[in-house]
Amino acid sequence: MLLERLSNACGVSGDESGVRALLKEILAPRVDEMWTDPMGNLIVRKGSGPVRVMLDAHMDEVGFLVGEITDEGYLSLRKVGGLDDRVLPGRQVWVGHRRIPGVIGAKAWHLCSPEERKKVIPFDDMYVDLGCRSRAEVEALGIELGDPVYFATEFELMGDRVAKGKALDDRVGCTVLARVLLEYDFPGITLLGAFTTQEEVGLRGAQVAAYHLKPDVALALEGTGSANVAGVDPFDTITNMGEGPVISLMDASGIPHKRVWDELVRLAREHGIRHQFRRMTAGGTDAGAIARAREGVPVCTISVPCRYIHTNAALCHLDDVDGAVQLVRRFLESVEKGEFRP
Amino acid sequence: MSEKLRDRVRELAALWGPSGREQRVQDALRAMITPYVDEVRADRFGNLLAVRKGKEGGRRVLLSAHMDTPGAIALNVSDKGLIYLAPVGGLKAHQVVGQRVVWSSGAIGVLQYEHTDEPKELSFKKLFCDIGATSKDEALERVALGDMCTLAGPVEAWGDLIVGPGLDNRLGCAVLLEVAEHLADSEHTVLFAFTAQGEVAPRGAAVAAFGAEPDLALLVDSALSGDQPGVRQVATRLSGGPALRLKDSGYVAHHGLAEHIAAVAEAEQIPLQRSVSPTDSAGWTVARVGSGVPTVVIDIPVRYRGTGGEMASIRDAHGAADLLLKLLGGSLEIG
Repeated sequence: MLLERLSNACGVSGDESGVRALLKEILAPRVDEMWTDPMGNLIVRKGSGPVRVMLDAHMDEVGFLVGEITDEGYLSLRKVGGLDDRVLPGRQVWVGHRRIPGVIGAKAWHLCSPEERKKVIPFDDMYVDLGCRSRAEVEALGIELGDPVYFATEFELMGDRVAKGKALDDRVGCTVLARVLLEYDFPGITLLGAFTTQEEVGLRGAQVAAYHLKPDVALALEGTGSANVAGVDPFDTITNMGEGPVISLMDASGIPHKRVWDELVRLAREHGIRHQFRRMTAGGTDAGAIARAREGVPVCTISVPCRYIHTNAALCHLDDVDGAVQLVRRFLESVEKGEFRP
Repeated sequence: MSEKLRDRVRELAALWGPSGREQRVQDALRAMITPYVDEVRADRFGNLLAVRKGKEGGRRVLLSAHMDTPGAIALNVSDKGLIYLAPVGGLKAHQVVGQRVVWSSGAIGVLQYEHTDEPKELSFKKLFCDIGATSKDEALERVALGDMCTLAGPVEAWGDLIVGPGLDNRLGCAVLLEVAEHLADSEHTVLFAFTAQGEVAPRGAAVAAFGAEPDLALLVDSALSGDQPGVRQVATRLSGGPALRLKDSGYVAHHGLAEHIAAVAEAEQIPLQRSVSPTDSAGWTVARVGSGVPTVVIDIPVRYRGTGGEMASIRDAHGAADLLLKLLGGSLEIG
């Protein structure tokens, strides 16, 4: 399963080579051209029609870097991307490309004062325990400062249609994009797939990719927060997992291009694709950077709802992934047929 | 030219166009500026660019003003038909409670707050818009999720003052139109940019500047006036003239261009204030475009920004237009 392979691949921002290699292997038989740009973005081209359509999904995931190795043999971490301190203690992690196992440790409950027990453990007080007893033991494992650290989560299905894994933000977007490339052909357009880098630290790869590719129109494909879970007011769920792909309304990085947005809603209705809107304006996606490239690019974000995003284990619904693939496919057909003109 | 400028500000301020939904404003500005320029085009971001060609040896001068106003976007509708929103741009919940708004469909509503005895911290979470609907379905017939509204209300002339919503930054747009109309044969090519999404981030100005490829840029924006009670660190006041923005949170005026502007204002006896602002402007975004653009922001002071009662002086807008015309009438070889 594509989502499984991509979720299990590892790549914190700036260290996307593992994800890139996997995507190259998967896509090579079905694309016309493929290259890596100086930011590390993997670009694939399919078709050579007059309209240039960019589909964006970022390869990087949130995680950590090794910031310090202590004399006692522990690691302190630096965050890469936005992470919630409340969910970190006790997590299993993999250190470096060789996936050396570790656990994020913190001061034990029975040693904490009543005040400390009520507080979130400060990130600076957490450390990675590798089972080592000295700096020399850590160094003997080949671990160096700056090595990437990932959540050690293996993908699995919960029932038939709910997926659990790390890095669904944005391997689910990579999955949607890869599936569109593998399952459909659009010979009337130039389809440019951009698997981008460093989204989680500032939409950096997409900015460069959009400048370089000069698209006429673009879609950013994302995993987005979903909170239709116990105890949350229906107004505050942002999106609802299992209720279809999400068409963005507005976020901190950008406002969807109105005509692209209108067309996506029209197509979803016409083709009976169950869809929903993201009812929150915080956060950002690559669409924000793409929109501002050169003299502007019409762009909108389509997302798959993910519960527990930016943690060790997110959930998504495979029906939502299928719906996103169909919505993107219908949009590309519309551009190809000239129904939507950027 | 004050009468016409006043009419233009009032006409433009009444147009509906929050960030990302500037099409109606863009259409109106296109019609208004076309008689005065050689070419007009819109870019894919939603900016309108109008070009008045100069002569060989002249410079390419960008005059830029954002054309959007702040507003709010519909995110949820309750069973009772009340619309819950998020701000688009800098609206503050405590400043807009009780205001009337108008939606893209033309539906009107009032902004109100869930009742509480002592609203310690007003936020958009508890703010809603009542459009008089009695059910969710009825509300959704007039306002869809993702639709935007802006502050509604009359734009009035009180002597030299103009009062109403939307002055920020239709004042700047009116100034650019005034310059386009009165610009005599200039050696410089003047690039008029009416930019999108200036209330958010700001975004459009840099995109417009990329397309315009200017030698230098002058941005006209409406800025917090220092004479509003409680405002600190801003030295401007209404009717003191336009203000030369020397520095803000992300920008420092191009030194040579700023000195030239100050010298022209003094020579032409145009009152010119100076502002050093703790807030943001589009200055930093434009200065870094391409190989770099010498950039200066000209502020028009506005009290009570982001409310239905924004207040500005037509004399300051007039002064800004006058100053720009004098600048474009002379040499712009900047050291």
